[in-house]
Amino acid sequence: MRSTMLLDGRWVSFSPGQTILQAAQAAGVYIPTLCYYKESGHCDVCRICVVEAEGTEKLLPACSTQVREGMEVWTNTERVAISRRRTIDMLLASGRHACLACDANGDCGLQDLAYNQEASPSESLPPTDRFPNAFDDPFIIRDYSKCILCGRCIAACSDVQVNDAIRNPFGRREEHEDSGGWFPLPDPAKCVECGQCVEVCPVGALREKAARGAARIWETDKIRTTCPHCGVGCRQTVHAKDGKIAKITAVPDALPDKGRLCVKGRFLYDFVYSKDRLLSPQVRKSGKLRKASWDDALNFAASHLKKIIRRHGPDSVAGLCSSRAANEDAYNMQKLFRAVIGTNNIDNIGASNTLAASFGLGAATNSLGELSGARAIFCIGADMAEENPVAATFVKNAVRSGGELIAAGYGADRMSEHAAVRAVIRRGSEAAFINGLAGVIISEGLYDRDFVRDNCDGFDEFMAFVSAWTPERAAELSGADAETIRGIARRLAKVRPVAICYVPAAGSGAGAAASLANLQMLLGGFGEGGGVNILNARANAQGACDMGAMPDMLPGCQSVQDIAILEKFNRAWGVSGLPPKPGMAFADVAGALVGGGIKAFYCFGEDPAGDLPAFKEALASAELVVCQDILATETSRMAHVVLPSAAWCEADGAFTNSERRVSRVRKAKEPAGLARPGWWIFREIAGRMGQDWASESAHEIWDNEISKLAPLFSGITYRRLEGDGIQWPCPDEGHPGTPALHKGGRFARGKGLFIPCE
Amino acid sequence: MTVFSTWGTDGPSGAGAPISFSQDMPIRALMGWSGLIISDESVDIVDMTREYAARARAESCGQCFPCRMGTEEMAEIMERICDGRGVMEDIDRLEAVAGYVHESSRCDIGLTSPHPILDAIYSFRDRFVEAIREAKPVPRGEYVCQVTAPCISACPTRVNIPGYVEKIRMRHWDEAIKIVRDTCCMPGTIGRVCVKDCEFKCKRGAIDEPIAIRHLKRVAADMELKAGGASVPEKPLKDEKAAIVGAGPAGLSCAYYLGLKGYRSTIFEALPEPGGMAAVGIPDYRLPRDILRGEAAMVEAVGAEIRYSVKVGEDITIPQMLEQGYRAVFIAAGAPNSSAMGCEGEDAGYRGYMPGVEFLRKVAFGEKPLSGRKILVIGGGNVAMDCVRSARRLGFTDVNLLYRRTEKEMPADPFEIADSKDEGVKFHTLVAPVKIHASGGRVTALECVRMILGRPDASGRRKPIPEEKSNFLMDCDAIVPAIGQSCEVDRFAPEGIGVNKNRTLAVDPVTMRSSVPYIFGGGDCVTGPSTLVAALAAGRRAARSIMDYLETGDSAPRPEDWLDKAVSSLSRPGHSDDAPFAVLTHRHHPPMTDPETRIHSFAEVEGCLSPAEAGQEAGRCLRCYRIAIAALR
Repeated sequence: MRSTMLLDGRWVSFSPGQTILQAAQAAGVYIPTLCYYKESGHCDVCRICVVEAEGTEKLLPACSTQVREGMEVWTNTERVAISRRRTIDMLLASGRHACLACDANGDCGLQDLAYNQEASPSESLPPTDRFPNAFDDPFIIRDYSKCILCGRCIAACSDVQVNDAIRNPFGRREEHEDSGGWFPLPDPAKCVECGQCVEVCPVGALREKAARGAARIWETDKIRTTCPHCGVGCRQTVHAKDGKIAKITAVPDALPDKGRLCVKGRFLYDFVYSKDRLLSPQVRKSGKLRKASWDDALNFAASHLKKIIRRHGPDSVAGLCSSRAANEDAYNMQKLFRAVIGTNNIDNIGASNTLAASFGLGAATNSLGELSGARAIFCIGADMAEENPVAATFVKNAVRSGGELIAAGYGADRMSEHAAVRAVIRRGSEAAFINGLAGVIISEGLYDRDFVRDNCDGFDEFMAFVSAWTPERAAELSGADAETIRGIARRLAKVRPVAICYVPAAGSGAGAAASLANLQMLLGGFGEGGGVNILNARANAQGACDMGAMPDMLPGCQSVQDIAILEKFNRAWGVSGLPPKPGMAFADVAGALVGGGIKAFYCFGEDPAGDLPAFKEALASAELVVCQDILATETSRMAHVVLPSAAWCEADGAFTNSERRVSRVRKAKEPAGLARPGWWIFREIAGRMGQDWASESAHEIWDNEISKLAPLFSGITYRRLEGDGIQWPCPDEGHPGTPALHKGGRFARGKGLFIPCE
Repeated sequence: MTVFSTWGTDGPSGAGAPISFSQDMPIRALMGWSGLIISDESVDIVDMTREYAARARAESCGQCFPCRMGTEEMAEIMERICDGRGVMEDIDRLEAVAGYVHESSRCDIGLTSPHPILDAIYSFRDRFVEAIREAKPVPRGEYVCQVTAPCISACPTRVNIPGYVEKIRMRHWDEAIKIVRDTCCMPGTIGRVCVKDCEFKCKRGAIDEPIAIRHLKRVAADMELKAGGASVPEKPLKDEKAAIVGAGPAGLSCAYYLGLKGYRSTIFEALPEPGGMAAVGIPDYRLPRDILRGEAAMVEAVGAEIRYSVKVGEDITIPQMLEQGYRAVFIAAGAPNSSAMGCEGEDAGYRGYMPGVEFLRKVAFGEKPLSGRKILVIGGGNVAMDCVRSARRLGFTDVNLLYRRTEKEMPADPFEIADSKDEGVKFHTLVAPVKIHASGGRVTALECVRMILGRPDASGRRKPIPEEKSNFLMDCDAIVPAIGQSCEVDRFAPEGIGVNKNRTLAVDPVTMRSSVPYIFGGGDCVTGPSTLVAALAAGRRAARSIMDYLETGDSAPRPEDWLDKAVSSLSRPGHSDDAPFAVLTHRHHPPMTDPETRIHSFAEVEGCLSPAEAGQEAGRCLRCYRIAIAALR
C-alpha cells in the first residue's frame, strides 16, 4: 500500500510507517542528520533534521516523525535553515573544533554541516575548557573536546554491540556540573575494544589510534573485502594509502554483519606486517633452511614429491589445507593432491561439515543475522562473544528485544549475563549433555511427533539409545546438574522454535553437532528462527570443506565414491583414474607418519607441529615436509621447503562463512616480500609435475572450474559476488541464494537422520 | 489578587487566565510552564527571569541539542544582564534563542520553559532595557522552585515518575528504584496495588495509551529484589524519638523518612503483622505478603522498631508514650471498622454474616471464616472486589456481587472489576439489601430491593432510589457487606483533641499536625478510607513536620508547600500541539495467570513485565517535565 504526501511542494508516495526522513530519502530529497543511527534506532536528539509541517507551529524531527496521509512537509525553509544553523553555531562554540589538525577532516558530519550552513561559532555561549581525560586505550583515541554528545557511541555500545560499556550519562544538568557534563565515558572494565563507537562517531572525538596521522580520508583507496578472523565473515573496508593499511572500517548495512566489526576485524591487521612474515621461499640445505628463488623452491618441492610418489605410491603423501585461506587456494590444493599426486589424503581441521550425515549437507542451516530476531536461542560450547563476537551481538540483540537465551557453556563467560537459563558443562561432554536433554524431551512426550514421523529416519533406534541417557547420567558426565538438564529440556520444548547455536572450541566433543541435529529434529524447528548454526572459529572453515579439502569429498560436497561424479572431474581436469577411495583423515596422519605409511606431508596455512606436540614428534620422521604459510611457525621450522603465501589482503579470492555465504576477498596491498597467492603456488607445483592448469587467476578458478563443477555453486560467479555475496546452494544465475536450509523438514538427504552419538 | 497573567495563553502577549491564589498563599509572582502570574507588582521580573532561566538550564537533561545548548545560552544571557554586563542585543538574542528552544526541543523542559521567559520579554521589555542601561548588578531575590509533570502532580507521593521511567529506559535499575524511594518507600507494594492516578493524567494517554507507570515501578522493585535487595546507608542516630500508632503504609512511611534522617521511632501495631490494611485488607493474590514484609524490614533497617500485637489505648496509652521518652506521636491507626449497611438483621449475629474487612482479615491469617456454596457481597469498591475474589478462592462456587448503582458508578478499579468477572463473579447492579433472612441463627437469604438512579448527589454520582414493590429474595449461605470503613480515633487519642464529625482525626492538611502540638496524624484515620498511596504520602509529610517539631518545637508549612499547592491548582489546558504527529504506540501488559488456574490459590495473579518490555514501555514516556518558580512574600 502506498500513500502520498506533499514534500517541498511535490506530491510523492510513501509507505505507511515511514518517517519523514525515510520518505524524503526515497524521494531523493536530502535532509541532513547528525545523531540518526539507523541500525540502533537512535535518533531524535540533534534536531538537525527538523522540518516544517502544515498543522503545527513546532519544527518536527524528520528522523522520528512518521508521515501521515496527505501531510504537507517543507524541508528547506528559511525557518528550518535558521534552526539548523543555530544548532551548528552552538555546537561549534561548545567544543574545540580544530579541523586542520583533525583526523576527521573531510570525514566529519559537523564539518559538513558547518560548511553547508555557513555556520560560525555562537558568541554568547560561555567558553568551556573542562573536558575529561579518557583512559589509556590501545586502539582508540578519545578527544572529548570534539564530542558533540550525540549519543551514537552509546547506542552503538549498548544497543548494537550490547556491551554496555558506555553508561548513558544523560540526566539533569545540575547533577552533572561536578563531573563536567554528560560525556560518554567508557568503563574500561566493560569495553571490549570493538570500536563500534569509533565507527559511528560523526566527528573527530573517537578515532582509531593506529590511523592517527596515517592518512586523510581523501588520500586512501577504499577496498571492500571480508574479514579473515573468524567464521562470521564480516565485511571490511580497508583504507590503504600508498599500499599500506591506514585503518579498517565496517561496511554500513552490509551482510552478514549489518555494519559491525569486532576488535579483531577492526584493529588486528598488524599480522600482515609481522616480523615473522615469510618473505622468501626457503629450501633446507645441509640441515638448514636457506633463502631460495621461487624456481629452486618449487622445483625442490615438485621433484621430491615425485620421488616419494615413485617410491612409495601416491598415498604416501598427505596434506593439510588451511581453513583460513581463500576457496581458490583450497580448491587448487585438493586438485594438486587428487589430479596430480593421485591421492585423497587431503583434509582440513576447520571441521565444519559435521552435519552432513544428519541432514545431507555439511553446513550450518541458517543465517547469522536471523539470530537478532529469534524468540529463543540455545547456545552451547565456547564463549561466542570471544570466538564470534559479531554473531554474539545478534544473540544479545535478540535478548534485548525480549528473546530468551538458554546457554550451556564451559564456565562463566561474557554471554552468561544475557542468559535466562544457564548450565555449565565440561568441555567434550556436549553430546552427553544433549543426549540428556533429548532423553527428557522424549520421555516426557515433549517432542514434535508429527515432524519426527514425517521427516526423520532412525527415531526408534535413537529413542532406544537415549532411554539410557537419564538426566542423572547426563549430569554425571557433563557436570551440569540433573534438575538443570530437565529444566532446560522443558524450556526448549516450550519456547520453540529455538535457534540452536554451537561454538566449537579446542577439546569440544566430536558428536556435538550431530547430537544438536538430533535435538532440533525432536523440536521440529527448521526454517526461520530455528535450525542448527555452527559457528566456525576460522574464516574459511566452511570453504575448505566446500572446496573438497576433505578425504571423502570433492568440491561441492560431492562424494569421491560416486563413479559418475569422479568421471565428471576426470574429464574436467584432463586426467583419468582419480582415486575413488576416501583418503586419510588428518587425525590419522601422525600415526601413519610414525608407522611409515606417510612419507611426505604438505602443510598449508596451519601449524600442527605447534598445536599438537605428538604431531611434532611424528613429523620428525617425514622424508619431506612442504610448508606453505604467511608466517613462520613451528611446522615451517621443520619443513624441507617453505613457500611464502600471500595474506588475506594481498590477493583476490573468496571466503565462505559459517552461514554458507560466499564473499569476495580483495587485494588491498602488494604481497609482503616474494610471497605469492596460494592458488598460484599449487598451480606452479602442478606445472612442474607435468600438468598445466588453464586458470590463471582466482576469478578464473572460481568462474571456470568451481562453479562449473559443483551444482551447489552453479549460480555463483564473481560478477554476482560484488556486494553481500551469496549463500549456497545457488543452482543458477537467477537464484538469490539460500538463507535457510531444510525448511519445514525438507532435508537435503531426503529425511533427516537421527544419529546416536556419545 | 492577580495583577497580571499570561497563564494558559498561546501567544505570550495575550491576556492570560486571571489565576488568583487564595489569600493565605503568600505568592507574589509565579513563573511556570504556561506563563507568568504576578500578584505583586513590585516583584523584580528581570531577576525572576534570570532565576527561571537558571532553573531551566539546571533541569536540562542534555539529550536534545536545542535544550542542552539553548538553556545554557539563555541562562548565560540573563546572568550577564543581571550582573550589569548586558548589552542591548542580548534581549533580541534571548528572544531568538528562547524561540528556537521552544520550537525544536524534544521534551517539555525545552518546549515549555521558554514560554514564561518570552512572556516576560514581551510584556516587560522596558524593564530588561532598563537593567541593561543601568549596567549594575540586579539584587538577587529568593525563590522557590518546583519541577513537576502531570503524572507527578497527580501522585500524592510526588514520585519523580518521568525520572525513574527514563532510568528504566536506560536500564539503570538501581537509579530507578532509588528515585522512587526518594518519595515513596514501598515501591514493591505500590507497584502492585496503586490506584495510579498518575496514569489517568499521563499525556501519552491522550495520544494513544498511558504509560504503564505502575507496572514499571514493579519491574524496578522486582529487579532490585533479584539483585539482592536494597542497601541502607549508614548514618548517625539522633536522640529524639517518635512513637507511631499503626504499622500500615502511613506509619511505615513516616518511620522510614524519620529513619533516613537518623530519627528513631517505635511503631505500635495491633496486629501480629506489618502492613495494616495492606496486609489484612488486600489479599495475597494481589499483594504477596513477603513483598510487604520485605518493605517493612527495610523500614526497620533504617532505624524503626515495630512492636506487634500492641493495642494503643489498652496496652499502652499516649501519655505513657510521653513518659517513655517519645517526644512526638504519629497516629496512623487506619479505618479498620466496617460501616453499617442499615439493613435489618445485620446486628443479629447470624452465622454466615461477616463484614468484609473482618472477612478479609481472617482470610489473610489463613482462616476460612465462611463456607458454603453461594455468597453475596454487597458493595462496589475495591474491598468488595477483594471479597468476591477471595470467596472464589475459598471454594464458593456461586459468588455474587450486589451494588446499588450501576457498574459505571462503581468506585473499584475497572481492572479489578474485569478480573472479578473473569473469575466467574456474577454482578447484580441496581440492587440494595433490605433484610437478612435466617433460620436457626444462620443466614439463608437476603431480601433485596431494586433501585433506580435519581439526581446526582453530593459525590456527583446519581443517587439510587428504591423502586416500590420490587423486593425479592436471594438465597445464600453467606453475606458479606463491604460498603465502607470507619475509625474511632477518639477511643485512644487524648481527650480534647480535634476530631472530625466522622470520628477521624482533624489535622492541618500540610503539616499533618493535630490540635495537640506533639500529635500528628495521617492515613485513613484522618481521611477516612482512602488509597494506599495517599497514606504513604501522609506518612512522609508527617515525618517532615515531626522532624521540624523535634528540632524547633514547631512545625509550619514551608515555602515549597505553597508552591506545590499553587502548582496543583494550575492545570494547563490541553493543547493540540503538545505532541504534534506523535508516533502511535501500544502499552505493554504483564502476563496474568489465567482465571481457571488462579481461582484455586492465593498465588499472585499479575506478573511482571520483562526487562526488555519495560525498556520499550519506558521509551514511550514523553517526559512532560515542567518548571515553576515562585517569589514569595
